[in-house]
Amino acid sequence: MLFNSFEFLVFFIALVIVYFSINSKYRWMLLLAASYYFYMSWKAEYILLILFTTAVSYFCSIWMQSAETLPKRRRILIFSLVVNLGVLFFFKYFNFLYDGVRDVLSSYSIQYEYAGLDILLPLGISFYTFQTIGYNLDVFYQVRKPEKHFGIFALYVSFFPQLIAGPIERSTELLPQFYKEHKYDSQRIFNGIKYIIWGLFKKLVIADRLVPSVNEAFSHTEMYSGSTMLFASLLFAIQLYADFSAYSEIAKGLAKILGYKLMDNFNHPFISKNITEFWRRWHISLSFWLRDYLYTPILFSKKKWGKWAIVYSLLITFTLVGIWHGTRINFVILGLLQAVALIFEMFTKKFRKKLSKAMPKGIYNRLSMIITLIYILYSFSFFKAKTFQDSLNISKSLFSSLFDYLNLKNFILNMGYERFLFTLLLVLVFILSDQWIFKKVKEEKSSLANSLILFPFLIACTFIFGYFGEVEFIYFQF
Amino acid sequence: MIKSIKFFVAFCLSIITIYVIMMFILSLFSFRNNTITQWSNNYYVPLGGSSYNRFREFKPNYFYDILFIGSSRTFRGYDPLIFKEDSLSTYNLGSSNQTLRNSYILAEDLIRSKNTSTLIVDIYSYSLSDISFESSMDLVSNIPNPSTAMKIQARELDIRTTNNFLRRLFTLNEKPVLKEKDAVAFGFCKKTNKLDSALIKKIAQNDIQSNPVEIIKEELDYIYKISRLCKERDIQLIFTTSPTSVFFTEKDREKMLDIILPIFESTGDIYLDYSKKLNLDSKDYFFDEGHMNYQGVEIFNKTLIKDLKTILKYK
Repeated sequence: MLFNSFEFLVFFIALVIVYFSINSKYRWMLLLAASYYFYMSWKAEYILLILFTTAVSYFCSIWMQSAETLPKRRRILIFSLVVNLGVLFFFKYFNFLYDGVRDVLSSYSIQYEYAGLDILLPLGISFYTFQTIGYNLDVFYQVRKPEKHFGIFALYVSFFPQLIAGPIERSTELLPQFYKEHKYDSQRIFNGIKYIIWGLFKKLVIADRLVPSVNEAFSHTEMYSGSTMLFASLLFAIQLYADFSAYSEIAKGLAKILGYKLMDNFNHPFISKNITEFWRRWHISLSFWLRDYLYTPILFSKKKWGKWAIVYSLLITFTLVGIWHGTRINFVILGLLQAVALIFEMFTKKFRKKLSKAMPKGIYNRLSMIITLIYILYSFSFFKAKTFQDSLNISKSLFSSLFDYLNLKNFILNMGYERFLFTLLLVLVFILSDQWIFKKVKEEKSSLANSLILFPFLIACTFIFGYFGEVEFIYFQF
Repeated sequence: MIKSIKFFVAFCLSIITIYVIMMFILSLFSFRNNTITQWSNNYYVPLGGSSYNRFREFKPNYFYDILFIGSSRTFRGYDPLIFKEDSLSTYNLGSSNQTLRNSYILAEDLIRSKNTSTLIVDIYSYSLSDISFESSMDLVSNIPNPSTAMKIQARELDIRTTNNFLRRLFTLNEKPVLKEKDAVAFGFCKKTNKLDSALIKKIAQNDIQSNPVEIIKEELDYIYKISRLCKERDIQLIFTTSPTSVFFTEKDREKMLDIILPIFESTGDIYLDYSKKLNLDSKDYFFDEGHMNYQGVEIFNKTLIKDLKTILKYK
């Protein structure tokens, strides 16, 4: 059941009507049932996994609270981490490792028939696992007390708006909201609808329309020149941003209608002037999660190393970011590229400060933005490329045929010149208006003009220019 | 609450107004011989092609002995010129991917007892599945009667069909751009080439047929509706399945028969199944996976005429 499907619309409207009709003390039950139904509409048996993860995290946090000594608490935490990460590891990495072991054994002429497991990656597993781990760590560090109510905790793990692709919510932020009474408030509901309208526009009009051209370029990397691949990488970056931020905004809007506040997951990342800033603006919930639960603890454990502790923490953290995305070597390179850039920025901080004073501020800022964007586009090409060979093809073409405009022209002609130009026009309008519209989306009280012109206009644009192929959100695969 | 309802109504009206204005503006301007609307998305069916001429050349006040209706397997499978050799006047009203729902809407609007005595509806497993979008887009673009186009778009329940309908309304002076090379006469389109034998081999190897057809209950309801309509208008209704190639599995056929035969039993309508009866070799008598070439059409149509003469006592 995709957010951009008719089926979901019916499900959600029915849920909202029942939600506001029943007594608030029963609402958590309704939301939990709806969340499980939402998840089971994809693959019913995998709900057992969520239940298992929920139960392990719940009981471990209770035991942690009652444990008298720190070592005992630590042992319980480790147990919870091993189980939760074990489940994630099994479903995400088992076949990858199994293939690796088989290859190694076969190089020693040891062969066997076992063909591995036919495992389908459970939707949202990377997200809800991180959410439960974060909760256990909060309890361990005594940032919060363990949640006593199993039903409410189960709802925190499976809350359907953010279950599949985040934002990865903090227990300290989301859990208390399930205890509050959320009265029917038409203004708040309209504010939630604004997020959904903007999210659907980004998904259907921008992200999904770019799918054919991006897929074409990245499926035939050997055919296209550096100029075409750079252009395709730019389109992919826009597609990825529009797609993922659309999901986050629809999630935020859905939660808002029901009375819950989810965190912002994106903040115009492509205007970042360096990679450090980029990671404060891109997939914010993951960045902050990594900062608090991985980067900072590693940094503290190695604080004697001085600056090298930062290098070490960044390398570990971003390698894990890469692996979190999947088993392809490209993802590891993607993570390492981020780490390298961040380390570079750390070592050149003073120099860059001097440079910024020596140059006119406007020029320095714009130049920084362009360099950052190009670096992001390059690293995203590893994200999109299917194989390592494809990534190599892209890298080679970027250095050998960056100015082959004829190839780019042919690519545009092959994509259907007139329609493709129209898509590019829409993308351009989106880039220019993204910040302005998002500001209007976030306004708690919209003017009548915005309510009755801007948002109906966005809906009309979605009707007319939308790509209605029910394309899955990109981050569903993680 | 009343304030909320008022706002909701104003919001919806605003959406409709802006949507219609935008469609109108996009229809006003042209780029490379087409309105901007045409370039604004990838699903618009340009004016023209076989449907454009077929529905314009059809004379609603002329009497045809038989009218044919159905998908492309109809307009490529029933040649009125062959029927004419046997002094039967016929017309082919098939169109691309036409599902039973759209066949019903067309029959409702075009077929009367004064213009025919027999309606032949060609069905096959796909015409009972949920693939009406392509057919609806084609018909909304090309049938001359705007009210029929409106009915088709309204029943499709897809914003893309509504967009296409508005585009049609706002571009009344549009000229047909698609040419149909295969059109012969009376709605029939002819192909003479044969199915690529390499493709047949590929089917055998890859089992392309393993894509089972999902028959939709709503489409089956239209068998009853068409049957009722013909009874009301005193028209003899015959359902047929024209010959099928190796691409259509026996399993799919049996699945379809299991569902439709009890329906025909209850409605009392005649059903003639030629899907495998004539043993037409896919290599020689089909030009692609779904359609017969002219050699196949000749054999099939002559057999059908013979059968119809026996059943309906045509002279």
